[in-house]
Amino acid sequence: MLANEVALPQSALSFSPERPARSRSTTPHDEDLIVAAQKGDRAAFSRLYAGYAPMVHGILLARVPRDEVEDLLQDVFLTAMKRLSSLRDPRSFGAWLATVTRNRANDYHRAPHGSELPDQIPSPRPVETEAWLVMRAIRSLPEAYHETMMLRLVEGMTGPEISARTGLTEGSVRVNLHRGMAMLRDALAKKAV
Amino acid sequence: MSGHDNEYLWDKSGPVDPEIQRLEMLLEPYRCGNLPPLPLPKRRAWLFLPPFVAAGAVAAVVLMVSVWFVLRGIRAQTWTVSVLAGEGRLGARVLSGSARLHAGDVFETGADATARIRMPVGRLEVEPNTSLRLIESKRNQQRLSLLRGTIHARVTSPPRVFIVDTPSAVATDLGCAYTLHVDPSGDGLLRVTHGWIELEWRGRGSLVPTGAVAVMRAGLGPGTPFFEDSSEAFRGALAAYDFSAGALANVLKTASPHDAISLLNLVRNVSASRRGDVYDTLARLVPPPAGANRDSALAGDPHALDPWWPAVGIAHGPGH
Repeated sequence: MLANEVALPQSALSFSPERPARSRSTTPHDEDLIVAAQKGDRAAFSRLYAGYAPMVHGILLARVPRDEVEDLLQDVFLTAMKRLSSLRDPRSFGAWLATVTRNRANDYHRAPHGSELPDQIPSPRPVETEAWLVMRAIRSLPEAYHETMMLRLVEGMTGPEISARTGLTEGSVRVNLHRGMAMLRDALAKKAV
Repeated sequence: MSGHDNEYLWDKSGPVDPEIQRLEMLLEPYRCGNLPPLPLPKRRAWLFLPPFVAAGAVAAVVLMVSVWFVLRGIRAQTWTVSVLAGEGRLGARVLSGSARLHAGDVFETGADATARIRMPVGRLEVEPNTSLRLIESKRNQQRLSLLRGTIHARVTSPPRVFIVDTPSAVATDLGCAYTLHVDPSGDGLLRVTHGWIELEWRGRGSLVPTGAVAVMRAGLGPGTPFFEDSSEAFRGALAAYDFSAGALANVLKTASPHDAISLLNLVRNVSASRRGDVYDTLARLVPPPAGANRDSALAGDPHALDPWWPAVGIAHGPGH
């Protein structure tokens, strides 16, 4: 049930009925950049990279080990660049990029990347800090919430920004944030973090 | 917090929620920081063409590039350094973000700085107060010089592609993860966390497997690898033998079966006249495996010790 709340239809949300049923995942300025990038404008794509990297970073942080995030982030943008010509509606770029990112994270877990080196090579420094414990608690939240919580608490994005970037409705983001935060508080209280 | 009225959680407006603010500050180090440059291809307009046109273009490019690689044999490889905390220096330039490293570049971290270097063959975590120079980056060899400080390497290339020069040894990767430290005097320490490293200095070589360490001394080269939980007596005897002309007999007298990897290395490195003593001590502590041949080992056959590695608890010999 919780997982279905990632993209609640606007009609199900009583506290913001005036908002549109579906968010655009880009701004008009981004749309110009996307169109330019589709035509091969390198500078335009670099600006999209800078603008959307926090979203991609947050989604990856929620799903893969931290050490892998930076490499996978670059993979995601290189994949996006190669497939950008297949994107028909520039307004859905953010949602499309979020899907590319989730797919890349899924591919990471499917790939036999641990065959040459063990999954757990001793870390060069202690990792069980309070921050690490909080990160683990966020990752353990239901899928519907951990991504949104990561974007808000780690990447520092506001709810409207998360909505604008990911294509989720503002209502869905609001629900994910509030329920996710409540669950996170419970989890942290149990662990006394 | 309480329900849907927490506007600070929603858009950071309204009264600050102290717990949320605390979590934001706590998690800030995990935030997307300085972005490494995206390695965009130099000519990429074809990427945006319709698929069937792009496919034709790709086929042509692949053909040309393949021919080019065959003719050239070697191609330059990209290294990217990202400063994770504090400030680094790339040559004379202060660096707080990311940059490409080129052959000959010297990169340094300050006292509070850490960095990550992404290589074509893996990555390096760079500790504070570290100085390194990229020597070369080619398809068949990636080489750097660790001048001082500490790096944690995780290497994914085939054996013998990634090499680190230090003032007291050359560390050749045989497929592994390890930590390498060089202090200002040029002395060093290698700790292998997975796989193998070969240390070499003026014809003297050591093979360091997972879990083992090797001390290096400026001007003297690498010592014999050992496990850190070996007896103090053995470690002391080994250090004396390696660096202070101590007696080999003390090493052999204090060795236990746990020290077999040290003895295997010693068989390779002692003078021919003492090789039999080391081999016999090893054979007394660990039953010789099938295929072990004393005469070949004493004759210096480099493969004569291969059957021993599994027998002493190392799953695969170096280079396997």
